[in-house]
Amino acid sequence: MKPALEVGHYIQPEIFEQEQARLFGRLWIFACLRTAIAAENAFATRRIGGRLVLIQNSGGRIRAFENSCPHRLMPLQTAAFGQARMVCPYHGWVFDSMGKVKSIPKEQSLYAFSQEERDALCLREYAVETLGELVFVNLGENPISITEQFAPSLIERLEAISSHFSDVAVHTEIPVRYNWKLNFENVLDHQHVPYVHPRTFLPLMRSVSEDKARESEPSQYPTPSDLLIDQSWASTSPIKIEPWPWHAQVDRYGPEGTYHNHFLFPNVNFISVDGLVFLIQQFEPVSASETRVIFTLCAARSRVRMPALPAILRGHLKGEVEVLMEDVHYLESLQAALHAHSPAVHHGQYEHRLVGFGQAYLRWMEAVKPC
Amino acid sequence: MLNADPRVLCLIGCGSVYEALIDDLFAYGLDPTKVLSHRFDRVADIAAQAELLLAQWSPQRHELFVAVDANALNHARLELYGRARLLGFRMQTLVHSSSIVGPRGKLADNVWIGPGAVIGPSCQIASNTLIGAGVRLDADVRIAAHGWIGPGTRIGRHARLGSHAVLGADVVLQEYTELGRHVLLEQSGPWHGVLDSGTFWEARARSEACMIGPGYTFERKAQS
Repeated sequence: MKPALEVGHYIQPEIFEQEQARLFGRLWIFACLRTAIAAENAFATRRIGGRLVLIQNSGGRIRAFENSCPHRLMPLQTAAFGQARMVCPYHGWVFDSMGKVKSIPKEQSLYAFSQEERDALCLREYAVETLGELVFVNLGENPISITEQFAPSLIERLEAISSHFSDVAVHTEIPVRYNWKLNFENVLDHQHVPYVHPRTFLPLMRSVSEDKARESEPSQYPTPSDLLIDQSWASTSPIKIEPWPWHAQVDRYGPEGTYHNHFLFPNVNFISVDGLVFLIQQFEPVSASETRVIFTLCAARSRVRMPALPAILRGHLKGEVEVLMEDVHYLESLQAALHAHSPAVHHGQYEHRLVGFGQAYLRWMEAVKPC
Repeated sequence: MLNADPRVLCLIGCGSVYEALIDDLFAYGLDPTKVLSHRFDRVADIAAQAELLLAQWSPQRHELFVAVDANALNHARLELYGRARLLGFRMQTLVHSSSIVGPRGKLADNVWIGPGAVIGPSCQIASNTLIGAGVRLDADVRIAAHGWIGPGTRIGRHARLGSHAVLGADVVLQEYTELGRHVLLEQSGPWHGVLDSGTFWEARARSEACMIGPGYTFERKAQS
């Protein structure tokens, strides 16, 4: 099958800049879990489409602002997560819940803004949508409806599954040296698992009976779709994990023995191991050849107090990072091997999702061709 | 001098500390004839078997020491330690004869000080904390309960470690370092300043991981 993307899409800085504006500047991008900012003035910071974004709980409502004080453009917050009012640490400007300047120290004597200038002093606000516990931000001035990006059935599913999230999660950001699209394509391509993860991920799948495993494979592969809404989808497959006592103490999502997989275009893969552990992995572009892999992992909410929850989350995160690092080893080698004259890749029919991803990507990039 | 207490010490464990103790009972002032031992082959068995195991001993006649390595931020050890305390068992503190505990040092119950460790003056080590061989704590270090300090680690004066701290081997914490609850540091550092609760630096990790949400990045809401 002919690939949609060319090598230049993975290595050219110009393409990266266009992606930032045309893809990440216009689509709904996952920002954080609502549980992570569930208290008054709790916040998260992200870099989306090259801009610093502050996601703030203001009076119970989640808002997103450019994380940049209108005075000297200093970021209001530098931590990834925290709890604080919106106050610029540089000169003490205070902002209200709507992002308007509330007070400025020694305003009259030092600044003497006109009323018109004063009225214009506010943080740039971005659109926010929450699907269950998943918070998305759109940087566009006239953002598309989130239902254009995610089908109602998928939204319903995300709302249902995320209602099982524990309020505490573990978060890490791992720098890797490859283009973000390689990682999204990698999670779309389950055929790499026996070769790259023979001792970590594969045994979970192998422990399921062959018949059940075969049921999850389609008999015929569909034609790739380049529609935006078709790039985000969910699947389930059988899995078998070792039982632990804490499993009986939590509110599991879905039937036992199920691996849930969600692909959220353009850069999120959200999985759940048996409805007990939930991992959102996001591939945040840093440059044409660098990505930040952001992991947010939580457990199913518990019916009793679980003092060992940090240990449980740490243990699962360690396992997930181990799997990622197996991919990283190969993907970094792949990225390093790419050059302007690399030949085109050859996709098989099973890679229809991967080809569709490339076609939809090009539509949103308005068929930008590499130089 | 051997322990003159008529009670029998029940040594229960899994991992390197348990083996070190069994191999060297005299160095802890223990009389092998007054020591019963129970080795778990797998940490996973501890929670399932703890109750049954403890039922065969009595708090009046037996003392306990729980030597489980730093599995699951020490919660695996806490499974046994916590149940034993609830049943009224007295827990021993074991200090190797080659180690030094400075003046005004306070060691709580179920604390192990490994061979060659130096615990500086005025240090306080809370319950159920295992201090590895060759560790050096400078003056006025405070380690909260359920800790694990790996061999060769050095901790500068006035450092504060929250509960369930896990420091790997040869870690260096500079003076006045503060660790919150559930902090795991496997990379050697040197570390300084404040490390928030739920900060994890695994041995080969490219970046840290941190707990987020109530009790970590924001306070837990008051219960209504």
